[in-house]
Amino acid sequence: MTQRPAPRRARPTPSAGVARMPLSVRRLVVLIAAVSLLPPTTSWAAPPESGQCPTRATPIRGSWTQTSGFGPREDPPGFHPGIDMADPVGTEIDAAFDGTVRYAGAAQGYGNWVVIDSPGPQGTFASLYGHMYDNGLFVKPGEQVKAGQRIASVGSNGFSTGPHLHFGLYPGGRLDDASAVDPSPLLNGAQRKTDSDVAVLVSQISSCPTLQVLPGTATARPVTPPDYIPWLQKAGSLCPGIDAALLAAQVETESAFRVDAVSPAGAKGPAQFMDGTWPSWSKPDDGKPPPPSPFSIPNALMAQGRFMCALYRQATDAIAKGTVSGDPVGLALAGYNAGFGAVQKYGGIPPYSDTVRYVPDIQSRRAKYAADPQLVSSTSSGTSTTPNATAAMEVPSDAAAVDFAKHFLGRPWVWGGGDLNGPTNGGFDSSGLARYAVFKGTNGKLTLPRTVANQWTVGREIPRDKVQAGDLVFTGWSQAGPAHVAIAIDTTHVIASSMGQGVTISDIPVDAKARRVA
Amino acid sequence: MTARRTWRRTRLAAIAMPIAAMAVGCVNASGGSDPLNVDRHNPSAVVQSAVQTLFSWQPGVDDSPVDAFDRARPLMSVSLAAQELSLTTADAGMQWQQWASDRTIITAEAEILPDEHPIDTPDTVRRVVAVTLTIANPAPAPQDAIHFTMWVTAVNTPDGWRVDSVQV
Repeated sequence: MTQRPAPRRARPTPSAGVARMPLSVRRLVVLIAAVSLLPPTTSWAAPPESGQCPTRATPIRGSWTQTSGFGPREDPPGFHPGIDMADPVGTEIDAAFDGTVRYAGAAQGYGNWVVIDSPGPQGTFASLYGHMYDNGLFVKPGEQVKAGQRIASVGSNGFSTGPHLHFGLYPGGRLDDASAVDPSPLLNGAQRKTDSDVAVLVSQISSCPTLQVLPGTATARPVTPPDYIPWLQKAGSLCPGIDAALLAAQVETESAFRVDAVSPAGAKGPAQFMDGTWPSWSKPDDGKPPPPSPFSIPNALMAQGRFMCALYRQATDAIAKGTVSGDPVGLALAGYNAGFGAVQKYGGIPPYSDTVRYVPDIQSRRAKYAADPQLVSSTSSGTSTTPNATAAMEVPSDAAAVDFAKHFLGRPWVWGGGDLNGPTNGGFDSSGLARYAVFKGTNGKLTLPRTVANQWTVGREIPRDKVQAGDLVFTGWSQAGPAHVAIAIDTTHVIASSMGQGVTISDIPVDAKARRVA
Repeated sequence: MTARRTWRRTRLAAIAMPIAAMAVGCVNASGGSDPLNVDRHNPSAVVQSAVQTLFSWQPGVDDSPVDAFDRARPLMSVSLAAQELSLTTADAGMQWQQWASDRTIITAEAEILPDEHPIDTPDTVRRVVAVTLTIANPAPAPQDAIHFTMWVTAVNTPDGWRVDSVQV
């Protein structure tokens, strides 16, 4: 087994810029370069100076619906330099960052807008809020505002098809499309996008210790970041002894849940794996091309779970043989930090200063995650901390997937669109929607293949007259297989993302064949 | 698209390479199909060959994956082929160097799926491609195959079909 040198405490550093190229080519370069992870000499720069970090809230405190994402879009055609957050007229809009109001008033297209300049770790950046009515502006140019302070009310002014906040983010402060970056990672939890300038901004901002990445929903800030929950649950069900709450506490200690974290010693990602250790435990759990990136939540968490389970087994074996003494969970943690060889050498937790802090630190943090209902609720069937392998394989057969699909009714069909986090490039194709909805509907327990043809290989075929909600319904048959997949919402209707229609509900087509995957 | 096009689900495992050679061209030393011998009037064959060439690697012989990109350039559109990739052996990193020292050969299989895609036009064809990388490694490895999906666009040029963009 490869050991990981200590210390590996996370100290995230921002990535340098990626050369501007057409997206497809840039992604191709990233894919090819991913055989090695990008070279550290060009990928990582020094952390920002302290004292230049923004504090942040969300622009809308309550719940909202994203009706248009960042980037190219078809309706209306063009580039959309922000995200649209739909809410009723009058909903409170808050400053997302501390700063100074640059503009507050009429602006073409936006009806009225507010632009706030904020000091960031790499200089000034601007946040833009648009579509307010005249009576929905509560700040004036030059005014100092604090994050979370009310600045406006949601309207539908200017070029708008319904009440919403247009929220944009501009590093450097130039308000042109070329400068705009996607703010959604700040609203929905940081997602590493290695091939985009978003990663640069997010890593710059998220390097600041004062910044909290908050969810864009009405509930209080959850203990466990939502994007991590399904993978903590999955990784926490791999073996007895290593549960989701422990893994969550470990991720907090390792990386503070920062996807882009890189330590000075070179430990990478949320679980802070060293390059030498990573290949032994990683698999492409995120369904992305090879090799698996340690900056991916699915890959990192599952590798962490596998490694911790192996360490736990080593610890229990060694305790049984009498070669080491102590609590097997604590010894497994020590092994993760210092290598199990060190645990064996000292017959217990090795007396390294980093390790003797690391183990109790995680064990004390575990309690708050064990009390987080979002994290433990769906793993608490039977023995909450030690689900057996059979239980982990069971997948609820209800139609929760339907609800997740319905959330995106009206979204456009985008070829190749959709991943486990939701739409990509503004939409889904049929297999992208089915994969997302089933993944969410099963609390991350079932990840379908990405394509229609391969989804047809999952589960078992059932007669058309036995279709029930949650079943997959395949159409567009040729000799090679199906071209399209939908999710049954009852015995006669399906929801799907279809070319030319987007996400819609329709009757089950006559040529349909169905499968039960859950 | 012409009516004679048929969906091809050719799985080009190493054992099936002679068949693959007949289907989409010869097989070169690196395991990819020879991009110069592909039927350029068949967009599916071009897509399949380009993807296989792009991801068939011979670390130790190739300096980096850029060599595979270079081999695939004849099947790329002008704009895609014009991209300069700078990736040295050192840049390619530990995994590549480990593969090189193990004499590992990575062979790509590309399967064009029947999945939905935008309607074909005389100038543009888009296909969903399932890619399997077979890692022939003399040492025990955590995994011996890698699967991923690509969304590939081919355009018709005076010299036949060429791959114009690749999404993963």
